[in-house]
Amino acid sequence: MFDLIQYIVDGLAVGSVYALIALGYSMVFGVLQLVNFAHGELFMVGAYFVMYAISLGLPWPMALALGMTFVGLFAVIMERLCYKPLRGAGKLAPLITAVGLSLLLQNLVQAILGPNPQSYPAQLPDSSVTNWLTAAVKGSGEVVLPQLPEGLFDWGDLVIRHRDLLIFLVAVGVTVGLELFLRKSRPGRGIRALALQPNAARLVGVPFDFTISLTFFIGAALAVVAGLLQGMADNQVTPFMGISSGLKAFAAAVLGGIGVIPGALVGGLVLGIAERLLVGYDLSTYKDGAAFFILILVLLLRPQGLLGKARMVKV
Amino acid sequence: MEQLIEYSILPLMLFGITAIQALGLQLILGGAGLLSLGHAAFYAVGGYSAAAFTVYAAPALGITQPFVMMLLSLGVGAISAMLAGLLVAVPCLRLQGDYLAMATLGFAEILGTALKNIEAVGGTRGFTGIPKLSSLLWVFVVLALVWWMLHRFRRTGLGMAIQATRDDEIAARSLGINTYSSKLSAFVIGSAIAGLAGALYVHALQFISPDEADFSRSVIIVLAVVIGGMTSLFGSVLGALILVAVPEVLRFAPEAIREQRMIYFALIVIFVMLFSPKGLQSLIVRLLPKRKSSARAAAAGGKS
Repeated sequence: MFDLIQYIVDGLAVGSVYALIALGYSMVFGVLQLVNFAHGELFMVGAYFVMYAISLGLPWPMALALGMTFVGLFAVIMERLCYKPLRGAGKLAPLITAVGLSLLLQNLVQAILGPNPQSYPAQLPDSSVTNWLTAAVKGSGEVVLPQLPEGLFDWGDLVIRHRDLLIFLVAVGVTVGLELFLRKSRPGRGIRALALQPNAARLVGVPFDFTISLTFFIGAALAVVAGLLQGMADNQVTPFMGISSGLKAFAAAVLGGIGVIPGALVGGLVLGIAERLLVGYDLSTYKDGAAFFILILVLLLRPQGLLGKARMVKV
Repeated sequence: MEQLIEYSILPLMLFGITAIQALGLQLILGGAGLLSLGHAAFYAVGGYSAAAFTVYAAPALGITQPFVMMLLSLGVGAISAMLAGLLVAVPCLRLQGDYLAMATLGFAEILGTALKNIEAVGGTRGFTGIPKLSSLLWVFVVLALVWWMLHRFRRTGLGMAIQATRDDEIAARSLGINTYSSKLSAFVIGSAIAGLAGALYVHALQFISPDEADFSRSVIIVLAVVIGGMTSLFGSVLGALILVAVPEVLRFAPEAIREQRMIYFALIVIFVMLFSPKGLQSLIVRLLPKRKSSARAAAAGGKS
């Protein structure tokens, strides 16, 4: 019995990372009805960016802020260059472009930084650029690695690691914050208006392009937070982490109800727990199929997701 | 010279098989406007079941004649892939949106996971000991037949209904076209064609592993169809040629260039989608349009 509770608690940490990525899928889908296939790669690029920034000697909050800004702006530029020209060209064209972008980012990172996993502190390539950067950032101080707390809450049969708790709290906090932002702030309400009814939102003066850019920016920034957490928890970063976690996070978003913010959190957590349970009960070879089994089951039984409301599509 | 011929048989065969896969996906992607990100899974379903048929079922049934065996295994491959396609498409095509893309991808992942856990077909090590029944001739005969049939199919009632559904679903429905069943038939026929390719593959290489259902394989087929030009059958074959030939040609190029071919393919796909949705085949067609269209005009003039 305690096994079961233990697995569920452990699964929450994994699920939290999925949830943070799922938020970005969910927001972009809500506004543009586009599965931004490259979103998982933003998570991966963010994880690399933050790792390198920290290894250069930046304190981690600064590295995280820089990474969120950089990857966020990158997502905005990506949307402007690759998705915006395809608005009105149907659904297929942006979807294929997104697959192309995902492939491009994954292979670019692999070509530049190598296909092997990197762990903290990352080995910086020895070149004039990196030497200059190191000098600019820190002089020659110690690299302070971000440490997830190592302690435990130990209740005999049930053990909760502090770091799992921290990751979970971050995910919940981010979700609550995002929901508040979308409900209370003016730009946030713009995003919701656009998701609800694009043309009417335009008529009442919601800045269309700005709001879409904002959606991409926020989604990417949250993916960077997930990238940092995942990188620290596993102590490794690979070019392929985006595709595997990204696809699962999408499944999580659909499970919770795509376009619904708390749905992303619920979907991510359920998926994380399901995976942990499979590992716990010696079925770990089935682990990677679980996300998609759930995805197909949801599509069959409740396509609007756990928290979503069925919407009629008018013709 | 003989070595050169021997060396080029395998790439040629792979080209033919990729071209058959691409033609199947072309019907789904270009014909019906649906994105399948698990096309390789249907190919793997076809391959595995064709192989299981020749290894387990055929001896039990007392079929030994290689020609008959290959023919039957093609049928088994196509039908099993078709059933798998039906299984995935029936729930997803009822839904609005891009769920089909994700569900096909999900199906591929589940299939890969399942195949790794089935010991009768080799598990993670892959299915070995499959008799060598297919050949370059088989591959190209099937390729030619598929190409010709798809070409004819476009002018049938169903073929045109599929295209009408792609162009404007609401308008198509108002004309009395059952858009659900036309999308479904495009998807299922496309999957069956992938199954044919799978059956040819396993009996040529005498081996198949769960990796064949992998997402990256499906992406390769999407790349072939999009780069070649997803609105045309010729484009898919051209795309398959490019995707198989480029790595072979780059064998002689410096490693720095060779290793990065996926980057070029990805860039080309994005470029094609943004600037030239008809793909590379439109470049070739543009080079030789005059004669064809004038000949057609002359024929039309002669008739009237």
